[in-house]
Amino acid sequence: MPTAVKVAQSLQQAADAASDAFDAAVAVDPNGDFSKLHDAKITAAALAAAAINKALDGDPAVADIQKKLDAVTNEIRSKLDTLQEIQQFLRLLNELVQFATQVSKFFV
Amino acid sequence: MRLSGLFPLLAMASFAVTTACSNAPILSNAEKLARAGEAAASQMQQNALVTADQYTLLKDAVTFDAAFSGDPGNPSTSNFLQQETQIQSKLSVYAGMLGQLAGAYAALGDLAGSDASGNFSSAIGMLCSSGNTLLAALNEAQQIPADACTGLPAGGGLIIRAVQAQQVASASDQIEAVLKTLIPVLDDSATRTLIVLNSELVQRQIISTVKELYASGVYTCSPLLDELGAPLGLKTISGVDAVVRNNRNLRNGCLAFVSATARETAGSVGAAYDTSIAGLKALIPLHDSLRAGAPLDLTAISAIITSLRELAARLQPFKR
Repeated sequence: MPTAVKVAQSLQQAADAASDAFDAAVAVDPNGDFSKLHDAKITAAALAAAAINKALDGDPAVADIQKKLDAVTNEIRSKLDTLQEIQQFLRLLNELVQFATQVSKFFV
Repeated sequence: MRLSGLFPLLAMASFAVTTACSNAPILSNAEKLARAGEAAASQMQQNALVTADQYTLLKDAVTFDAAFSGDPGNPSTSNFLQQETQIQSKLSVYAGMLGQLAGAYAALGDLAGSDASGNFSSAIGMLCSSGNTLLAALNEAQQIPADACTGLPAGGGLIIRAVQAQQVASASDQIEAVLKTLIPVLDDSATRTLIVLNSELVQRQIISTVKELYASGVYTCSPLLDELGAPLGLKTISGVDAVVRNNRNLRNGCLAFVSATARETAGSVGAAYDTSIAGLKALIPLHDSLRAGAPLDLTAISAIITSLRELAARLQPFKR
C-alpha cells in the first residue's frame, strides 16, 4: 500500500509534467491562448500542494489510482517532444488532472 | 596564636582555588559549546527562512502567470496559494524553533561567562514553547519533558563558581533533552521528503513563469554565454539576442541552463535540511562531553556550520 508521502510524490510529479507541457506549448508559440492549459497546470499544482499539506499532518490510507496517475504523467513526459498542437497538450493534461483529482480525494 | 587563626582562612582559600580550578573547564567548555550551538542554530534558521522568502516570489510568479495565460481569477490559483500559505506556516514554526535554540545557546554562554540564570530560564522556556508548537504542527502527540523546561534558580550577583558550574551543567542538560525530543521527529524521512517536494513544486511554478517570459523574448541569455566563453577569452557579439531568438537550438540551450539551476537549488533545500539535522545530532556528544568534564571536539560541528553556509549561498538564487 503506498503511503501518503508516495501519493504526494506522484501528485507533485504530475504537476511537474503539467508545467513541462505548458512550457513546451508556450515555447512553440508565446502569443497563443493558454487559458485552458494554465487551468490544467495550476489545478495539478493545487492538488499537489493540498496533498503535501495534508501529508505533513499525518498518513491517511491511499489506493491504486496512484498508478494510473503515474502512467499519464509518464505518457506526457514521453510525448513532450512530439506534441505541437495545443489541443494535443490539452487532451493529455485534462486526463492527468482527472486522475490527480481522484488521487487527491484520498486525503479528504 | 596569630598564625593558627589564619588556618581556617587558608583552608577556605585553598578550597575556593581548588573548586575554581575544577570548575574552570566546564565553564570554558560551556562557552565554546554555546558559541558553536548558537552559530549552528542561527545558520540552520537562515537556511530554513529561505523557503519563506520563496513564497513572496511564488505569489508574484503565479499571479503573473495566470494573467499571461488569459486565466486570471481561476479558483485553483487562490487554492494553490492558500495551500502554500498553510505549508509555509508549518515550515516557519520549524525556523522559529531554530531561532529559539540559538537564543538558548546564547543564554548558556551568558550563564557560563557570568551569572545570568534569569536569561537562561527565559530562553529555555521560549525554546520549549516553540519546540512544542513544532511538535503540534507536525501532529506529534509527544511533548518536550517538563523538567527540561523549568527555570534555573537565581544565583545572585556573587554566585560562587561551583554553583555557577552546576547551573551551567543543568542548563546544558536541559538543552540536550529538548534536542533529544525534537531530533527523532525532524529526522523522519516523510517530513524531509515533503519539505523537499514542496520546494520543488514551488520552484517549478516560478521557473514556468520565467520560461514563458524567456520564450516571449524579454530576457537576454548573454550573461550565461559570456560566462561560458570567458575562460577561453570569448565574448558575445552585439546583437546576440537576435541570433539566439532565431536559433531554436540556442534557445533550448539557454532554457536547459535555467532548468538545471532550478534543479540544483531544489537539491540544496534537501541538503540544507539533512545538514541541519546532522548539526542538531552533532551537538548531542558535545553536551555529553561537557557533563563528563571531557574536552570538546568541535571538528564535526565546525564542518557542518561551514556546509550550512555554503548551502545558504546556493539557495540564494531564490531568496528575495
